[in-house]
Amino acid sequence: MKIGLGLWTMRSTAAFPAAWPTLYEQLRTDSQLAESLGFHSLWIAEHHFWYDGWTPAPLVAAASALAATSTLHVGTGIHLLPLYERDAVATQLCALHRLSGGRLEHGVGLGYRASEYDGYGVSRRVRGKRMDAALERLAELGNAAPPAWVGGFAAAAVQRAGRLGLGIMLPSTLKPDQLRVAIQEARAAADDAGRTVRIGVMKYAWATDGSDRQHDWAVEMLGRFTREYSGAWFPLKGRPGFESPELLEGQMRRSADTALIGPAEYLVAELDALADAGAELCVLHLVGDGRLPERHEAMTRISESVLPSLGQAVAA
Amino acid sequence: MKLGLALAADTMDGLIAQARVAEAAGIEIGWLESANGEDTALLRAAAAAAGTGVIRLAASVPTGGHPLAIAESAAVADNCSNGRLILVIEDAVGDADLLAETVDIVLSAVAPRPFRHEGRRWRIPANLPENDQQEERIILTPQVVQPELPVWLAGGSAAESARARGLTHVSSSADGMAEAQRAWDETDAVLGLGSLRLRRPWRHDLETDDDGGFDADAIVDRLCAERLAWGMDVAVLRLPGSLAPDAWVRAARWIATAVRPRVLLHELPAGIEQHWKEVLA
Repeated sequence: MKIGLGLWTMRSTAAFPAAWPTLYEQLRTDSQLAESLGFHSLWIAEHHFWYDGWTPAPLVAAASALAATSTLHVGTGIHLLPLYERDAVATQLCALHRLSGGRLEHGVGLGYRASEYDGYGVSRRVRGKRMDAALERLAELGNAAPPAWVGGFAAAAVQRAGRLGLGIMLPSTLKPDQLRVAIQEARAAADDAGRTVRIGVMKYAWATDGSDRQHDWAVEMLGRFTREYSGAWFPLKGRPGFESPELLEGQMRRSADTALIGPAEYLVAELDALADAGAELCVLHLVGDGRLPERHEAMTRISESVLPSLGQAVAA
Repeated sequence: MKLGLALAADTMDGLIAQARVAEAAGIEIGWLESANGEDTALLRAAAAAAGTGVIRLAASVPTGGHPLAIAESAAVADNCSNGRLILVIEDAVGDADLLAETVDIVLSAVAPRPFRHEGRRWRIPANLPENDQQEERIILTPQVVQPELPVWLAGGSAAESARARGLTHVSSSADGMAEAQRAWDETDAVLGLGSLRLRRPWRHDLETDDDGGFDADAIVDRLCAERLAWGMDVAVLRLPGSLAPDAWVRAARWIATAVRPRVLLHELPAGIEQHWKEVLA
């Protein structure tokens, strides 16, 4: 199973303010570090019109990271494909795919924020149809377009990935039984269409030194991250979390309960289990938020103590 | 006079190599075009920025795409380059209304304040009932690094739109010196002292002579003549697409040594050009 790292957002938050150009410089240096540490890929997220500057143009940011590296794959996790005019975005994707020598991984998703669709004048009701049309356009382009990963675990997303023979990128908050069901459904849809589907999983993660102090710190970082965006705009039964405190607490518990936070041996066991379940790629969504030294420490620990041990139990 | 070079490599490594050569030679602007109406210049500007630290990057984006996508991509490219982006919006289809509305939205979106736009083509935010979205204004983040993002207009209706908004328009040698002079005379008349702050860029295709080389005297004469006629102060040169990578590098360095020193001053002291020829021989 390949291991990628995510999600770079280039956010200057209330808790961790920073200059935006510095964050984009860190994207490049982090990409170089990830490449030198042997990771398969680094993934960049997308959102719009938010105070922290969450990157709204992941393909442009990906171009910067791809130019700073030579073998690392760079992914979008995820690109809000239905927002855009399909032919124009297809042209950009093919250009970046070609320029980078095939190192772009194209994660796509429907998104959920009403203000993002409304800013672009697109009805949220037609986002599924627009997604299908855009993916079909990319499929027509064959190898000229980068490999697509369909984000989500709703039946429509799983069916879409299987039917079109793409990848499915399952979200972090899935429990093991949900994960297995989603993988089975994607494979069944692919079988029906006479295709194969690639299985990817995104997981909130942090590699600790085994101490309670580092574990508690990572859980707190994850909590801050999920509380802020789930509270402000992630819809929980149709309303932002800050308007539904109990639902927000539940969402935070789900995030923490399904996160891979612990020492290297714990991560190895959990990642091997994901591989056994059929995952071919796992993107570890590092939960350290804006903390640079801690992020580099976690990346190095995963590289040195997790990557070499993956699959060893199976091999033995 | 500032000199720019069109960067046209079709690989990431080639693009960075060209940008680095231009930067090392003191060329001030790397120009990224979107050929055949393809909107890829901002992607390539971000890539070129990753391998350079000084050179300005002018990305020419055709009209037709959503102006918010242009503005957001430009803002990210400006951050990727630490404030070295020049955004060129090109009227690729001769549609003055489309260019005007695109520019108005981009200018509003890259300003550091929430905005609303209601025009013929776009309403932002749209406030579609099914989106259940009642925000009156939105703001683009991240904001651009530069206090004011340079936005230049190019193509068919560029001069008129630029003049109305106090922006720079890009002239082209293909349109002839007389047309460039007429357009800038009109801009001067409309803007008065306001035109002093505008750059006067010009695009020009360089051609090789019968021996496969470039005629430095002819190029220098042409640049100086354009400057004298209408104040051209940024020359963006496009090398022949047929040049091999090593020939492109030699040509870029040749521009930096055989052309650039001869076009910076209004006049040169007698004898110095001969001295340079001897030094460079």
